[in-house]
Amino acid sequence: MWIYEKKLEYPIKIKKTNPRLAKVIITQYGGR
Amino acid sequence: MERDELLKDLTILDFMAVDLGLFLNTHENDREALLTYNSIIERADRVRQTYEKMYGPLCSFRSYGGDYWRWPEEPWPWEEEFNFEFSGGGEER
Repeated sequence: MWIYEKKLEYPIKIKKTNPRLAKVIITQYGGR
Repeated sequence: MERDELLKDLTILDFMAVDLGLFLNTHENDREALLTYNSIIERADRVRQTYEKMYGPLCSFRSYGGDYWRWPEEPWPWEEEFNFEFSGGGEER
Protein backbone atom coordinates (compact mmCIF):
# COMPACT_ATOMS: atom_id res chain seq x y z
CA MET A 1 0.00 0.00 0.00
CA TRP A 2 1.11 3.52 -0.68
CA ILE A 3 2.14 5.39 2.49
CA TYR A 4 3.06 9.03 2.78
CA GLU A 5 6.31 9.63 4.62
CA LYS A 6 6.80 13.15 5.93
CA LYS A 7 10.45 13.43 4.97
CA LEU A 8 12.70 13.22 1.93
CA GLU A 9 14.82 10.23 1.00
CA TYR A 10 17.61 12.56 0.03
CA PRO A 11 17.89 16.23 0.94
CA ILE A 12 17.63 18.85 -1.76
CA LYS A 13 18.90 22.36 -1.90
CA ILE A 14 17.43 24.64 -4.50
CA LYS A 15 20.22 26.90 -5.66
CA LYS A 16 18.55 28.37 -8.71
CA THR A 17 14.89 28.56 -9.66
CA ASN A 18 13.76 28.07 -13.25
CA PRO A 19 9.99 28.50 -13.70
CA ARG A 20 10.13 27.73 -17.44
CA LEU A 21 11.82 24.36 -16.89
CA ALA A 22 9.52 23.70 -13.93
CA LYS A 23 6.52 24.19 -16.21
CA VAL A 24 7.82 21.68 -18.73
CA ILE A 25 8.52 19.11 -16.01
CA ILE A 26 5.12 19.48 -14.35
CA THR A 27 3.31 18.90 -17.65
CA GLN A 28 5.22 15.63 -17.99
CA TYR A 29 3.91 14.59 -14.56
CA GLY A 30 0.39 15.09 -15.80
CA GLY A 31 -0.21 18.63 -14.65
CA ARG A 32 -0.92 21.55 -16.92
CA MET B 1 18.50 17.15 20.18
CA GLU B 2 17.13 19.62 17.67
CA ARG B 3 14.64 18.56 15.01
CA ASP B 4 17.15 19.38 12.28
CA GLU B 5 19.81 17.10 13.73
CA LEU B 6 17.39 14.23 14.30
CA LEU B 7 16.03 14.57 10.77
CA LYS B 8 19.53 14.58 9.34
CA ASP B 9 20.56 11.47 11.29
CA LEU B 10 17.38 9.69 10.24
CA THR B 11 17.81 10.72 6.59
CA ILE B 12 21.35 9.32 6.61
CA LEU B 13 20.31 6.04 8.24
CA ASP B 14 17.24 5.55 6.04
CA PHE B 15 19.28 6.24 2.92
CA MET B 16 21.81 3.60 3.97
CA ALA B 17 18.96 1.17 4.61
CA VAL B 18 17.50 1.77 1.13
CA ASP B 19 20.89 1.30 -0.49
CA LEU B 20 21.81 -1.81 1.48
CA GLY B 21 18.37 -3.24 0.77
CA LEU B 22 18.93 -2.83 -2.96
CA PHE B 23 22.39 -4.38 -2.64
CA LEU B 24 21.00 -7.36 -0.75
CA ASN B 25 18.46 -8.02 -3.51
CA THR B 26 21.37 -9.08 -5.70
CA HIS B 27 23.65 -10.36 -2.89
CA GLU B 28 21.35 -12.44 -0.71
CA ASN B 29 24.17 -14.41 0.89
CA ASP B 30 26.33 -11.48 1.86
CA ARG B 31 26.41 -11.96 5.63
CA GLU B 32 28.28 -8.74 6.34
CA ALA B 33 25.83 -6.63 4.33
CA LEU B 34 22.91 -8.30 6.09
CA LEU B 35 24.34 -7.62 9.55
CA THR B 36 25.05 -4.01 8.62
CA TYR B 37 21.53 -3.69 7.21
CA ASN B 38 20.01 -5.00 10.44
CA SER B 39 22.05 -2.69 12.63
CA ILE B 40 21.15 0.32 10.46
CA ILE B 41 17.45 -0.54 10.71
CA GLU B 42 17.78 -0.79 14.48
CA ARG B 43 19.50 2.58 14.75
CA ALA B 44 17.01 4.21 12.36
CA ASP B 45 14.13 2.83 14.43
CA ARG B 46 15.53 4.43 17.57
CA VAL B 47 16.04 7.81 15.91
CA ARG B 48 12.57 7.63 14.32
CA GLN B 49 10.99 6.93 17.71
CA THR B 50 12.76 9.88 19.31
CA TYR B 51 11.81 12.16 16.42
CA GLU B 52 8.17 11.12 16.43
CA LYS B 53 7.84 11.52 20.20
CA MET B 54 9.08 15.09 19.97
CA TYR B 55 7.85 16.31 16.60
CA GLY B 56 4.90 14.15 15.66
CA PRO B 57 4.31 11.27 13.25
CA LEU B 58 6.48 10.78 10.18
CA CYS B 59 4.17 8.40 8.39
CA SER B 60 0.55 8.75 7.39
CA PHE B 61 0.06 5.19 8.57
CA ARG B 62 1.46 3.04 11.43
CA SER B 63 3.00 5.96 13.29
CA TYR B 64 1.86 6.39 16.91
CA GLY B 65 -0.74 9.08 17.47
CA GLY B 66 0.77 10.49 20.68
CA ASP B 67 -1.29 12.68 23.02
CA TYR B 68 -3.00 14.60 20.26
CA TRP B 69 -3.24 14.34 16.46
CA ARG B 70 -0.26 16.09 14.94
CA TRP B 71 -0.17 14.70 11.39
CA PRO B 72 -1.58 17.85 9.70
CA GLU B 73 0.94 20.08 11.49
CA GLU B 74 3.40 22.11 9.50
CA PRO B 75 6.09 22.16 8.28
CA TRP B 76 5.84 19.82 5.30
CA PRO B 77 8.84 18.46 3.41
CA TRP B 78 8.40 20.90 0.53
CA GLU B 79 8.68 23.84 2.90
CA GLU B 80 12.11 25.28 3.44
CA GLU B 81 12.00 25.28 7.23
CA PHE B 82 11.29 21.56 7.25
CA ASN B 83 14.64 20.60 5.82
CA PHE B 84 17.99 20.70 7.52
CA GLU B 85 20.83 22.84 6.25
CA PHE B 86 23.49 21.21 4.18
CA SER B 87 26.85 21.63 5.85
CA GLY B 88 29.03 23.96 3.86
CA GLY B 89 26.10 25.40 1.97
CA GLY B 90 25.69 29.08 2.63
CA GLU B 91 25.10 30.09 -0.92
CA GLU B 92 22.60 32.83 -1.63
CA ARG B 93 19.65 32.12 -3.86
